[in-house]
Amino acid sequence: MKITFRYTSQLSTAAGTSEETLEFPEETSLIGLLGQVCMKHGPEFSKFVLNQEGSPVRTLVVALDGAQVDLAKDPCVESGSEVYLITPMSGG
Amino acid sequence: MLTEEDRALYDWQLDVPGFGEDGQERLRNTTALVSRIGGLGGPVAFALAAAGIGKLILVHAGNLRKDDLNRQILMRWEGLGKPRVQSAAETLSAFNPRIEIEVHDENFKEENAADLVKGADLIFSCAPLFEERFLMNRECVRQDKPMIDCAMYNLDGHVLPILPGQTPCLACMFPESPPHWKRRFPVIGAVSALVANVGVMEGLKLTAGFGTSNLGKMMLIDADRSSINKIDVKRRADCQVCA
Repeated sequence: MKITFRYTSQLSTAAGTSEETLEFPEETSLIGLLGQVCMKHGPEFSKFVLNQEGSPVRTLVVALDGAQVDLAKDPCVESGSEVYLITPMSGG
Repeated sequence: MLTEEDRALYDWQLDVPGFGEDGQERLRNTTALVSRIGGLGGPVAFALAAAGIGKLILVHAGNLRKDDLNRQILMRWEGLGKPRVQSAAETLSAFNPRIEIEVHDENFKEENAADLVKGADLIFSCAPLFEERFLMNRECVRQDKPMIDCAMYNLDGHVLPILPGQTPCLACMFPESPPHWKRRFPVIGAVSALVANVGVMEGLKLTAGFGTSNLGKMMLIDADRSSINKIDVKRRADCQVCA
């Protein structure tokens, strides 16, 4: 299945892109997908996404197809979905 | 009632559908607080002055440095080494002398938070430190004041309009400071101005009662791809600030 990911701020820098479409072998839960994306981009990316226990960090906001999701519910993600990963920003 | 001079000054925006004389009058009777007047807050204050806000309260400690000038558009070369709020007030007064301006050469902090928010109808959060932003959020929730959260990093930005009790607050979105944030980060002035002006539009719509509301949404600005996306956001049931 194909999933489009969008990244903001420090995540975008760590991934080297603000948007990418990735292919996964089978439908999986959102947190499962996050784990796979973190594997792809490495520790400089994953530190903004998952903690050492593999749970989402508290400062990560995730939107699935335009709506923020409750990560505690870990919804299933279908092919063609768009996942937005948002980390905090400030002023300057 | 608008005066003849008001009509002459704001003639072109009075024609904006839904805004009109009523919107202009509401704006003239509004006081906006802008916390930090740098890359984000400077263009926020400038656009509010252009639109005809009644009063601006500008909060920012410290003197102007050379490395501020790529983005802090209220500043002037002659202001180097002098208080930023002084340059900002001079620029804004020269641009629109009808705006009342109150300056504070200090940052938003526990000691002044309650008084500053109390004196404003609309608050813009543009500070670089998360401690300031969370404090401002907490005080706006406590006093039930609308706050527009404007933020940026590199070529990205977000705008989150907050109406306490109705929309998620900043702590609903981000319950703690990000552990890997660095105080100095990449900024191009055009990006901060872009984010700032999206934020001002949300403030103007809320204040003047026109246009399409984005309450309950976070706007995500990507200046690399020239896109603005919106996501629906939720209040956090266990929010330490607004729940």
